[in-house]
Amino acid sequence: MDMEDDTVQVRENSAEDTEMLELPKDPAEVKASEFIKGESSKEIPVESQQPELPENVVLQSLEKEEFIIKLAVGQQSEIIKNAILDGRGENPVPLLNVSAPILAKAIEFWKRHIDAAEGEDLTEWDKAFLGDLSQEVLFELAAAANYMESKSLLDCTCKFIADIIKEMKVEEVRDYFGIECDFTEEEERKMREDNAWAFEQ
Amino acid sequence: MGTSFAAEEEHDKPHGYNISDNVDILAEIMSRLDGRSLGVAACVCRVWYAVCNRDSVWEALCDRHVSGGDAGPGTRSVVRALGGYRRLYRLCVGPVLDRLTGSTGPDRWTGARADSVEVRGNVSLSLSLSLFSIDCYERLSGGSLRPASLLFLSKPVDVS
Repeated sequence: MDMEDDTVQVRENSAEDTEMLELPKDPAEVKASEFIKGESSKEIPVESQQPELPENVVLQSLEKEEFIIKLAVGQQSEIIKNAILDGRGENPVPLLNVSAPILAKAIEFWKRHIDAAEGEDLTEWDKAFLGDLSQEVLFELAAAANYMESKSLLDCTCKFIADIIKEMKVEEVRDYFGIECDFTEEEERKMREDNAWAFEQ
Repeated sequence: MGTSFAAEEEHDKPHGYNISDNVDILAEIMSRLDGRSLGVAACVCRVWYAVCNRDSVWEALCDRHVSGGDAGPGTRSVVRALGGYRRLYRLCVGPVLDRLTGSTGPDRWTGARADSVEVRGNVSLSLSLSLFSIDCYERLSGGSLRPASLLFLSKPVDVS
């Protein structure tokens, strides 16, 4: 009977205490290390007393639209990961700077990356995925990745845009991004002189 | 962000949206450019010019090409004291990389393209800082003369 009392107590304590007491593995109990790897048991009962370790995460976009994703998928964003790990059980996680279509794209990216086989090269998939997006969506996705602190998505989107710029001359960059030149003629001349090294052999 | 999604569906060119609105993202993008592209990007408009001149952008570039040292706060303070990462790249790292890789770089004005656009290669940290110190010393002690010792990196010197 005492053992059972201990078990009940352990459930209410943090996962670390569970490890120290060496109790038999209970499918309902999720250790912190498993949680972080995203291998949480699929059989967590609804009445689990560990609300901070859900299997699914609900994300809320700017328009209050909700997206349900697996924990492992959401962990690719530091903001989402921290919101869950903090144990405040903040659910849904509010992402009020990200609009629904952008969030959907981010989730699609994360899903593909988490589903990737070990050592699988996703460069081609990434290029195709981003190449399909309009310029505005691409840029908003980069901004969202920055806001949600998702390094993989931020790296990918910014590198993609940088690669586009690398191919271009000044006028082409302006055309492509719809930027108006706001230099005076004199300033422009000076600018090109200053940066002439970039064009010299 | 709140930018309307419907708007971009009507018009392929961004309408009511401007890439220059988010300078942090612009900086992230610039950090992934090579040296020459940064020179081109600086000529696009005022906002781009300002972002391209952020030392952090050049620091990211240098970090990619400088090896053999701890690119931590210690290095950063030395580089800043000597004149900043932009100057370091333009005077030392860039020209040395060109020499090492034999890259001639694309001629942006005529649009002619070199075979290798992406300059790959590393310059050692000690070499970079040594060269940079020469430049710094010249500037401090040279009076009205422009620092010229490092010109040998970009222009051939006749030593016959």
